[in-house]
Amino acid sequence: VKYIILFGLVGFLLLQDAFACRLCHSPLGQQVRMGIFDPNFIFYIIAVTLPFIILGLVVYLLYF
Amino acid sequence: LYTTEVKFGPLLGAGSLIGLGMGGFLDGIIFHQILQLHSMISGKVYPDTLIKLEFNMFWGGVFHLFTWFTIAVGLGLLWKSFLNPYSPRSTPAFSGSLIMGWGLFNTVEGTINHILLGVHHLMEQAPIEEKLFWDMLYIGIGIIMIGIGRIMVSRGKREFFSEEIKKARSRPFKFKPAFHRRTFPQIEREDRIQ
Repeated sequence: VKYIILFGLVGFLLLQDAFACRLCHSPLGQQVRMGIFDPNFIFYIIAVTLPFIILGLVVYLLYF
Repeated sequence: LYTTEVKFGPLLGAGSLIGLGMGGFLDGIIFHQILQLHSMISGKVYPDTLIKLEFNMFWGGVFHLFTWFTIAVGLGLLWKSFLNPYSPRSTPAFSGSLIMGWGLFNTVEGTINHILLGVHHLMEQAPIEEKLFWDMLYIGIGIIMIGIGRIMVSRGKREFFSEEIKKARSRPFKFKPAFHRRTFPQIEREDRIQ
């Protein structure tokens, strides 16, 4: 098991460029990140999650 | 007495959550990705550049993540309902709850995201008055689906109880119907001890 972990770690270090997330490293990704974490971030996260919170509550109140 | 022991709630709750998640996934796959009628935040940041498109893709991903969690919770509840001997197995009731969950998703998501917050509209490229029409149509379809689901659930409940009553009548000397014995014989034993 320790060799699997060791080779896995070495493999990950050698291939990390291949696994690198584009959003994290590229100049375009940096601009996208700036857009995501802008002052409207809280509004967007509420907009995306609010329907699920309300639907979960509706289902809970109806059936449980 | 027997009819008060049977609980449809867990089955219908699980079905509604699974239907809700499936409705969410269909919305994301068909409207966001295949037809590209709108994106998650396209009402505020219209995806006309690659950066804006990737921004919308990120929030679409967050939406799909929550949809996945909804289905996961629904499956967990369905399994719990399957293990519960007092929870009935009724195909029309379960199918109805799936349709009802889908309709609930369209109605609530349409009302909050399309009408109240305006983060996106069904037809993002349409003129403003047409946008409202398409959004109302989306919500209307959701309400119709809730109605159809409710009818199917009622039919399922009726069928289930009429079948159980028939079975109970065919065994005049045994008070409880065969439902418990068939699935969970230990419950009858516990009842006898009490």
